[in-house]
This record gives sequence, C-alpha cells and structure tokens, in this order.
Amino acid sequence: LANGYVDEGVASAALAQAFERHRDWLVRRLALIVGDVEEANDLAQETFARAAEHWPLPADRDEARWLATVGARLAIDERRRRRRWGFLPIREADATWALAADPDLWAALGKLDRRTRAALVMTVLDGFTQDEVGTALGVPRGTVASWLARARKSLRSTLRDEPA
Amino acid sequence: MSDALDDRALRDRLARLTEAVPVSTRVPLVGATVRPRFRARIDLGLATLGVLIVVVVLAIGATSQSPASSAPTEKPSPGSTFVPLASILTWPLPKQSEAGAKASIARMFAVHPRIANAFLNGSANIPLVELAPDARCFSIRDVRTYEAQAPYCLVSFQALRQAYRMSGDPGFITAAADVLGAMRQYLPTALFLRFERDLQGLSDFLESQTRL
Repeated sequence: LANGYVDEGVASAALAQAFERHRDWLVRRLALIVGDVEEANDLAQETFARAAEHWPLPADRDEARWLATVGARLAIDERRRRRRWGFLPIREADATWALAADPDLWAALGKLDRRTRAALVMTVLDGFTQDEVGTALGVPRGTVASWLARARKSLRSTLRDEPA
Repeated sequence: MSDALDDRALRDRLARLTEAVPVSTRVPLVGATVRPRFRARIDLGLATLGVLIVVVVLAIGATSQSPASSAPTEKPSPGSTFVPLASILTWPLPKQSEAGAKASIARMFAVHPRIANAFLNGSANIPLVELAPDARCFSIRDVRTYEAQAPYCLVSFQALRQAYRMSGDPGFITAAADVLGAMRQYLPTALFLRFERDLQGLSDFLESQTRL
C-alpha cells in the first residue's frame, strides 16, 4: 500500500467512497451468514482492511463481488479460528431483529452451517453462480451444489408456509 | 414447488430479513454479553498457557545456570509500565498540525513500547499475542504508511475488547485510545466512522469504570 500509491489522495477518496457505498450492504449480508450483527460489523471492518491492502482493486474486479467474497471467507474462517482457539469468546447472537422480521426463516437458517449460509446468500441474493461460489470458498462446484441442495431441502418447509 | 419458485420466495424473504439488520446501532465497548461459560473458557485457556509458560521458563532456567543468566530477569506485569497518558496529552486529541501529530505519536510510542510494537509490527512481539498468537491485539494495517501520508489503520473493535479482557489492564486500553486518537488524524474520515464510535465507546467505558 505504502509503495504502490502514485496518487494516494485519489485512491484514498475512492476507498472512502467504496466504504460508503458498500459498508451497510456488506454488514447486512454478513449478519445473515454469521447470525450476529456485532460480529458482522467486525467482519465488515476486517473486509475493508483487506480491501485497503489491495486497493485499488484491479479494474476487472467488481468491488461488491470482491467484498462479498472476502467477507464470506472471513466469516467462515473466523468460526474456524474460534473453534481452534477454544478460549476465544464466541458471542451469543442477539437476533431480536431477525426474530421480529421472520422468525421461521431465521430458525431455518440457524440449522445450516456458515458455509452453507454463505453459499445460499451468495447465490440467491447476490447472483453468484455455483462455480463462482466454489472458487470463492475454495471448494469444488459439486460441493456447493450439495450444500445448496441440502439447504433448500431444509428450508423447503419454511417456504411452503409463505403466504401467496 | 419448483426450484424457481423456491428461489424467488427465498430471495424475497432473505432480502426482507437482510433489510431488518440494524447496521447503524452503536456497539458497546465491553458488552455485558460475555457469557459465564465463555469467560470460564478464557480463564481456563489463560491458566493453561500460564502453566505452560512457567514450565518453559523453569526448563530454560534449569539449562542455563551461568552467573549472568541467574540474575533476576523478572518482567513487569502487564500494564505496570504504563504511564497515564492523561498527564501527557488530552484526549480526545485536539486537531494538530501534521508535525505536531507525528511528534505526539512518536512520544506515545516512546512511552508505550508495547503498543508501539503492536502498531509497527502488526501486533507481533507483544505479551498478549504471545499468550494467544491467533488473537491479534489489534487488526491494524500498514500503520507504517503514516510516514508516507497514506495511512490505513483499521481497528477491530472485537480485538480491542478482547485485548482488554485478556490484559485486564485499563491502562493498556487507555494508552491504546491515546495512540489511536493520534493516528486518527491521518485516517480517511469515511472509513473511520466506526473507529470513531469505538473510541467514544472506550471513553464511555473508562469513564464508567472511574465512577465505580
């Protein structure tokens, strides 16, 4: 970062604009994956830290997709990290917002693991293909397809209750 | 029910759920949400590490019995070397000139080498990190670039809380707030809305501790 800047003022402003544009959206997506807004805030912060390290992103990279991918990876890695270091605190989710909005869907999502939730959010909400999710999360496409099939099966009963 | 219908219904409900996420709420510094069992896990982990460190120190001591090495090498306990920065700087820091801010940072780094290490070495070589190498005290990136006028210093609030819990030393976090407060002058404002909130959280927390 320090050595790569020719016009750091422009780069800094562009990064700040990207933060303004994508931060809230990213926190919302991550909250769905990790189930906790506070953790999602930290993960979004960390995602922008990574963005700052790689800024400016290559011209062929879509900012939102880059952030969504890095954020999802971090969300999955954070859980692994906390499992590895058993003494690190894992905050209990305070999900009153989700319970107020859609308790059935929230409960159904809670039965899925983070990787599956990440794959679901990336494909259903963000329009990633299964290949792209596989690349982003470092697993074969077939694995993603398997996660999504299981997720759909698990969520199907909830979806059936959706009013017309 | 076809997959297409499933996807559409799911997308709509996920989208509504996403919109319900409260993204702008202020985050408390030290939440009351640390559950006893997690606290117990932290204590157990630290106790285990403490025992391991004692064993390693005793083993090293036993294998190096020269007169020089048998001299007392006791390290100060965490935080005992900290000087209250309130006596050096006011906080929140007033807006300073670039040279003034750099001088303040240099002065604080001189007073707080442990935190300076955290900044300059990406959280390496500080006791907290030795205790838990994967629990970075601060998630700080490229702080050295403040010299190059291109600073990006992002602080993980979670890591800050964790550092406080693990150190149990209010002096540590006060000093961190001072250093971060000085660094803030180099930071892009938009990126640090949260950072600013964290600092305010620190301030509130320390004030509440003082009142107790």
